Amino acid sequence: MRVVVFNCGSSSLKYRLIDMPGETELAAGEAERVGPKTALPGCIHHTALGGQEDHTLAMPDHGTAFLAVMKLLERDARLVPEAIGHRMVHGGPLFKDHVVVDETVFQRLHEVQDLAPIHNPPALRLLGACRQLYPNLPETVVFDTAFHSTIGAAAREYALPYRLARAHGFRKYGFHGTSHQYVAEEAAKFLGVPLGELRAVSCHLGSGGASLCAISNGRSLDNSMGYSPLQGLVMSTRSGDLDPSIALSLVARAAGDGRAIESMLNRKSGLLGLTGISADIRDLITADGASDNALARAAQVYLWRIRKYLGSYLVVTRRPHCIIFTDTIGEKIPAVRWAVTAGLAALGVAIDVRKNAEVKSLPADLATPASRVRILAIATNEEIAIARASYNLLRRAGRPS
Amino acid sequence: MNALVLIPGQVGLRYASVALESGAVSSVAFRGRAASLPDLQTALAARSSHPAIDVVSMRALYGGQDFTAPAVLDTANENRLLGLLRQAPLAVAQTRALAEQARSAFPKIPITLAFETSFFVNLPARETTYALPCDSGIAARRWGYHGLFHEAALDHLAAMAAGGERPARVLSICLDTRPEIAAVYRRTPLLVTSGSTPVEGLPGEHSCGDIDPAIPLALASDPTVGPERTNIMLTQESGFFGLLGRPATLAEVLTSKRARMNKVRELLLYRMLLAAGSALAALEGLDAIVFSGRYAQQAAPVAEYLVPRLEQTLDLDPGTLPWQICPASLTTIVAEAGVTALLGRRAPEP
Repeated sequence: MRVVVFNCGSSSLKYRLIDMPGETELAAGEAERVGPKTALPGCIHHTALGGQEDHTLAMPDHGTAFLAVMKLLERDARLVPEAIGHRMVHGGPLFKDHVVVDETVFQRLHEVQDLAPIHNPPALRLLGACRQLYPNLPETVVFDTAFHSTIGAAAREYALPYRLARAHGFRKYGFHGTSHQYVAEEAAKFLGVPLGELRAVSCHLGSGGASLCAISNGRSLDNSMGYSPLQGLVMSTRSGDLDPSIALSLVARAAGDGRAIESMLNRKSGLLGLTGISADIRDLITADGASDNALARAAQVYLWRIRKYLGSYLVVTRRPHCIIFTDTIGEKIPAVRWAVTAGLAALGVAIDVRKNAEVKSLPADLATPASRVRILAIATNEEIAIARASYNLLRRAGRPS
Repeated sequence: MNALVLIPGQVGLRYASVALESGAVSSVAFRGRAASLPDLQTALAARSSHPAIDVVSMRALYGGQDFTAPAVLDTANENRLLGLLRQAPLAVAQTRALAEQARSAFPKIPITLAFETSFFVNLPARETTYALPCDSGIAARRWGYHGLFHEAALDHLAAMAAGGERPARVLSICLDTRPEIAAVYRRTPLLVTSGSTPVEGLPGEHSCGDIDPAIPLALASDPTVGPERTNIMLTQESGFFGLLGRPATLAEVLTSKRARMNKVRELLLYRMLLAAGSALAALEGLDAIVFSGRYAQQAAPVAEYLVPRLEQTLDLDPGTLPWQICPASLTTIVAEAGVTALLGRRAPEP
């Protein structure tokens, strides 16, 4: 079954065509500058069967971009999609698992739009376009939050007035679930541990968002993100954890404009806020701390927050098999892996400096032979994870080709 | 020497008359609770006799970077305190108001201040810093707000070592109305659960503790709630009170057998476990746990939950991670701090 996976950004549309269950990538690409007119025209960078091509065209909405991508794929009979898998960031309390889309599901998805105002609405608009233009193609929605539906009450609930929390849906949802689930599955294979027995701390350290996940018996126990992706680690432009009183002080200073502060905490804080010049830890970790204390301090704050969550989750998972590093920073920046795991021998964690510095291919085990907890670097692949989930859903629904 | 100890709280003033010999508490003559200092004066006047007061020792919540130890309230320190008003308006205003009343009530008696934040003045920048834009206009940093209990707990551990090896890496757990956990290496705190205010951190009897920053923003932006109501909800109507729908002390949460309390206890203990895990990573191991605070004597359920899990992580044999209870009360801690400040002696260095 050829599953085309769509990952919808606010002004972009990424896609991959994957042949399942073999997980062979047949085509991939990205439509850029989707939406209102910009200085440069829209463009689709398309790769298929070893060839690469760029197509310039106006894409005023995601429906147009989707149609253009489908036309590119349909030029070759070997690339005609048989199912569509959509990534959606937030399923809210309504969607505890991934779903096959029907009219009821489509209508209910509108109810969780506001929980991720940047990501969910364009994904939903795309879904609507797909249903209209290709009504006979089976579609699934894979939620970032679904993997975390197993988080227990003690980790999920906030100590807020019960009725208030219920009325507003204030609880931990957790994010990056698709990635955490994928690398947990890969880690289980790599270590030869049944997934249902795997205990791990997964560190999804992206160049933008980042979260840690405590995993026990292959299921999510906890995630550093919360009700929204704002909670948790210091990220490129997100503040992460913050005293609630500070949030309120900021609102007071902005004359009650909570949305402006939300935007500031999501887009202008984190590493960018601390340094004023860079949102990328790669620019800071190599900076000369002696010559620029602000950069060095920002890097320390970023690393320290990861280390604190790592310690928490090492205890919560009770002698985990492994720590997993994934996504751009987790996979490619040895200095980050070293800084957050060094000196943790007492907790059963010992990183091999040489292995960590000289990773040639992934997956890789970076721990010393004596380390009780293995330290793995694993490449995440959210599209494969979405294709897997979509294929399994459709197979259970009796709809594979 | 007799100290009149004043501990201001959200609802009134706790007070006690404490006798000290060689800087250490020998007895507590009386203690009580008053709505304000004038009420206390009335109560004192009504007593047929009470010991002469040599020093008024006050507990102060916030001393900023300026106050690294207990201090005598002289003109210089009063000015320094005034300078902190913008950093912590409510806490500093409360301290100043009470100090003013105390000076008026006891004009010839020296007044001393014992600050909860002094212990945390040198918390590392990586721990104190929030990842906010430089131009946000917020100069907040993380503090701890039970520094007096943590220091007393470390003194207790040192005393219990009695010439033996003192534990270097300590998990200090203050069980109070707003519980707080600190990771301490050789008397230097490396990590603490509270934040720029005591609202952040572990949930308390009425405060929410750690929540997603998007939550206060959502509530403050809601026209039916707004910023002021949000503040009240998070600081007075949340925590155990919010979860249960009625007031409950930490002691009740830790010891009650009622089913509804289990959920609250599990939430609290889980949060404590997360903090303890962070402490292990900060300290690169652990040598001892010490409990202090108003409810320190109810530490057993916390220890039963935390200790086996930490031992498992640290590959220790069951029952080998030591934990102790520091019995000191805030009254005696503040009294001793006052005498230390007055006599110019520093706290005993272990």
